[in-house]
Amino acid sequence: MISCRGVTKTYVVRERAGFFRRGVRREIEALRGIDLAIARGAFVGLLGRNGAGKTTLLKIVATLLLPTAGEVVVDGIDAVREPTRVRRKLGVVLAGERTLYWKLTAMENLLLFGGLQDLPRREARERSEDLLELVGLSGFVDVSVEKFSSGMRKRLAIARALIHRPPVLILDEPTTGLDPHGVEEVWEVLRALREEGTTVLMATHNMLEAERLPTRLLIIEEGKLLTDGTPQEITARSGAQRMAVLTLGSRPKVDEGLLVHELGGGMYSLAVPMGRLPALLAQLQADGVDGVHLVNVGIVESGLWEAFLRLTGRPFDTAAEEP
Amino acid sequence: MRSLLALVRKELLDLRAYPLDLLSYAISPALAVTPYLLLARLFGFDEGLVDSVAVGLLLWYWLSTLFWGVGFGLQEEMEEGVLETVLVHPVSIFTVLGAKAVVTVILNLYITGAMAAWFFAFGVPLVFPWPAFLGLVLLGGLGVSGFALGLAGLVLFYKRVYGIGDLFEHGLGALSGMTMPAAHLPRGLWLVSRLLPLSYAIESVRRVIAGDGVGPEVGLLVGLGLAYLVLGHRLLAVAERGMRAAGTTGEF
Repeated sequence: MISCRGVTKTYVVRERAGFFRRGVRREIEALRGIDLAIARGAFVGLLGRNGAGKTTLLKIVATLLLPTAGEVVVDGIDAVREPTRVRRKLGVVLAGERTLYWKLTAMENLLLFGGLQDLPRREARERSEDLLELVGLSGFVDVSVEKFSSGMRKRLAIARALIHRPPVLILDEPTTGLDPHGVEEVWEVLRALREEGTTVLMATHNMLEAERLPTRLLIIEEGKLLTDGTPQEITARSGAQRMAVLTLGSRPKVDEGLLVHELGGGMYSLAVPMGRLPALLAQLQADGVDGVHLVNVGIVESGLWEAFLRLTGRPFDTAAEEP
Repeated sequence: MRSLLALVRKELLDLRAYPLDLLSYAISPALAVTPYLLLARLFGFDEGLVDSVAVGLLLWYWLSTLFWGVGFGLQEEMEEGVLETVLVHPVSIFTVLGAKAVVTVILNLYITGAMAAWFFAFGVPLVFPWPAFLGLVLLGGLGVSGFALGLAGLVLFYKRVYGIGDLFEHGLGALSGMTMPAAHLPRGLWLVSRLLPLSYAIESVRRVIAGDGVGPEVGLLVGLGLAYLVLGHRLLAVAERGMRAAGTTGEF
């Protein structure tokens, strides 16, 4: 459904430019040869840290941005040569809240964007009513978007992207900035789309989202795809496993391979694979006689979190600090 | 066509959000040009000349609002942050600006009605041939649209170009003979005025008022207008491609 071959993107910026100074030219390689094939009906998550190249890749697929080199094909159509045809195949939800006309109501926004997709007005209205039902906004048809909460705007943006029944939906960080209820509401909509078989390419840096929604995950780092698979496969391949994080009131003596992180105030944290926890606790208990005491034990549930940090080169003990 | 209609409808719905703007449209343009008319009356010019000044101002006003409405049309979407969302739809940037032009014409009809009432109250009834006026506005609009598309391209590239907009609007107005026939300009400026389609539009409409009919300058008006339109179209297309290549579609 979507294929990318050798896609690169280099941004050119000018540093220290002024009124009468052109500044120093600098090239930033945002994408470095992305090869990718997404099958019809797949729900693909694109996971990466800030600045990894996620949004750049999505914008290129969405025809908003021209690649420096490479080929992007959506449903058999070249996205660089025939962007208008490709745009009919895509529903796109960009990051941020300003993706709708705030002075217009929910229905007026949907009718406008339905018109931009060349839908007859009556069909656009019927489709809008269905979509507002789908995203839980049927009680807010005639309310202007400026009165909406962030979560409502995001759900309306998803409805807007679906107005012409696109075979492909592109989402850029759809839940950023939302509270847990807002996140759950958006996820509910996305789960329904997954069940319907809509092809989705979604960028995120939310581990929970990456673990729960996509059927396939791509991890991108510094413009390159690092790995590809289901969240479970990626976690298993990276050697990541469920970890226990111990908070200790003094520095313990531990075996090699276990990293101790100083938290300050005489407190230390220690991450240990679950399988080694009983032995370590026994050891600490024995050491406790000499003054080492256990303050707290927590479990790092997200194996993907750890896998991501391993793959993207962050030290493991830092991972253990995260919630 | 559905895209254009949807965009026009959106622009008109936007007006609903700020209803007092409609009052401003009824008053401000008239207040801006009335002093010129009163001066013409004060110095005892005959009615024909007063009409000539009025029509020059009116024509300039129509075309300058078209210039601003289209030229800065994309700036509204950029400020609202919705330009990128519009650009991922199968609608050309020229259609978006076309909708701005249609709404500008609708607003101008409203403004002209208000202006005519205003002038009438000041003892300057606008009794000139409206069909010829509107026809010449349409033809003058070709060239002005070319400048406006070029300006829209500059907006995409530089984001803020109010200075250029002012320069073009007032420069074009003065050089085209808005308040004084271009023939009275110094020779150098007169030569520049010969390159501006608006000069021929104003001269034509004044000729019609004087009862001389449409002159040969209409050919130049159309020819130059089309040339500027092609140039403006090309500049905007290049700017759009540059923006998509540079990745600045979301910047403002």
